[in-house]
Amino acid sequence: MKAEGGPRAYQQVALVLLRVVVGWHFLYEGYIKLMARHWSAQSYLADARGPLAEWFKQMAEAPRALQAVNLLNEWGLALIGACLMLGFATRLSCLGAMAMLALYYLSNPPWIGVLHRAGEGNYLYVDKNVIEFFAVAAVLMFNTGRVAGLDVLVHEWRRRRNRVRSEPDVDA
Amino acid sequence: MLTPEEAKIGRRSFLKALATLPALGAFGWTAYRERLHERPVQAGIIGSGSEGCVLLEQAPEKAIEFKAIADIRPDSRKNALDVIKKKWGVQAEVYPDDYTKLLERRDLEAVVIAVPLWMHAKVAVDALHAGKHVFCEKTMAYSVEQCQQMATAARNGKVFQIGHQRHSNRLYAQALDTIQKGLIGEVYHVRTLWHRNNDWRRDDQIKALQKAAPRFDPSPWGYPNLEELVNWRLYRKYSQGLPAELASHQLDVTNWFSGTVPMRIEGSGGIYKWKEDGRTIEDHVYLICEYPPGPISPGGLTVTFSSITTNAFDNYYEQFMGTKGTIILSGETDAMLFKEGEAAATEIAVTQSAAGEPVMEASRSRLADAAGTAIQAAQGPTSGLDRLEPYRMELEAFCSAIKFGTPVPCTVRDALSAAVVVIKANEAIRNRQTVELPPDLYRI
Repeated sequence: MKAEGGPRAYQQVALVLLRVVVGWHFLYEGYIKLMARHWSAQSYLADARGPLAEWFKQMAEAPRALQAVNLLNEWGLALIGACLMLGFATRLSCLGAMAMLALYYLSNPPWIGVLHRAGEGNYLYVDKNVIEFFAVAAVLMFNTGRVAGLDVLVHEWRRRRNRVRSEPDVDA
Repeated sequence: MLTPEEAKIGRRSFLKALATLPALGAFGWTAYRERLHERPVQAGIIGSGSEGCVLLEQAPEKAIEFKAIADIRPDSRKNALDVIKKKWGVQAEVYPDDYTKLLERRDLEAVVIAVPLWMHAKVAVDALHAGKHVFCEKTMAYSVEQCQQMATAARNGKVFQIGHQRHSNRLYAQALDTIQKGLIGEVYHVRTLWHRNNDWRRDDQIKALQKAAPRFDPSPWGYPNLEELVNWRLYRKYSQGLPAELASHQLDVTNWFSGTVPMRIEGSGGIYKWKEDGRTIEDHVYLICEYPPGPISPGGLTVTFSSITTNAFDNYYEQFMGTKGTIILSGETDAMLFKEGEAAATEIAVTQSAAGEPVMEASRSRLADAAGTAIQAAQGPTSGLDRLEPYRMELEAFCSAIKFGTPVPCTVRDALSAAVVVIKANEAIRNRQTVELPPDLYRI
């Protein structure tokens, strides 16, 4: 089976799986933070590196901003993850995921001249955030929610609504 | 109205829409499983007297959390409630009349049982049948038949562990390693003893109980009066006496170290000193256990045990007498090595290596006296070991077995073997005869 001009079925399956595993990762990151009592991004922000370090550090010191960052991390990650897994509002979720990944990357960029915070593995410019960013970008390009996901129903509902609206009133 | 083709497209869309739902279900299931692994084992305690409270106090609070107490004694319940409240910040549910109501609680995964010996089998079997993991204090049970009932009930896949805590004592693990490596040669004799100088009564608890609950009547639970309830260890109806309460630990060790079990036992003893208080168990007990040839004793092994209640000299120890040397494991905290032909003792201490692993260090430290007791009494445990640490370790292992399926330190076979020797020891003492212990007795 081959969609008109689009990817083959197995390619679609691979893209859907990519979306699901990225969603799983996001959902688990959010879930863990929600489950952990008193989780806060403060230490992470306070230890930021790179060109935006000052901005991140200011957020760590401003209680309201920190609260917002915490909520965004906890619920943002969980909701984006669930949406990616379910294929609901997929494109919006992909954009949200990419924005978050970009921020994570910029808070600790593995660039030459930046004292990169060590973790597992060794990176130069490309770290796991970058790889996941482009994985989500691929998912976004192919709009996999329309292949398998709740977006199929949303699309169907919209299509029917538009068709009913465009049909002429026979009694008129 | 949809055309058949539209309906077909609708069904297909619906299936496509829900195609990834199982992945979310899988996530939920694994996250739930992970939570189960992370949280402490949810447990209740049945029998919260002095031994039960030791277990509560030593329980590793991150591994196990006690939510319920079943005990007929009001004073014991209160003590346990206080310990749980202080340690876990939890107001435990209390079951004063009927432990089976605690077993009905679906939120409890495990029970710790520390009731008098005669009730071990009934409570443990009920708990296993109720689907609980069971940690039961030693000795395993009052009779061999009851041990077999427990072993059968434990075949349901639940974790079942008996509290012979020496299996969780790193001093013993190191000593066994030393013996197995041949440092003291072949071992043909082990001398064990447990000496005290007191009447073994808990009369202060009777007074406390009367004060806490003046109208409390234990007769519905099989105890005609407070005396038999509190001092149950002194009555044959409930207790297997000194062999069960003391020798069981040491015979468990000799079974474990020798890799075999006794084939014959002789006993002697009686009520020599405390004749007036109505007790029916012996206050002096002497045992001779004959083992078949085994890994550390190729020609056979004889283990002696003495327990007296009128002289505390020597306290308690297990002494492994090899052809090249002797190891004494004293008071559960000290190990001493005497090389044959040398006048000085080598004291063995368990320390931690740079990698955090326990290692044995040996140093010539004191002259050989009768187990070095006088020096030891003055200095306290010289190994630096906490006598209560094995209680923590055995409960840690119990929780690990529940969560990760790791083996329990004291298996059903270990516990049954020790119990068989204890029960038959009393037969030997009371019938004044040598009792044969055929392999069938140990069969599970």
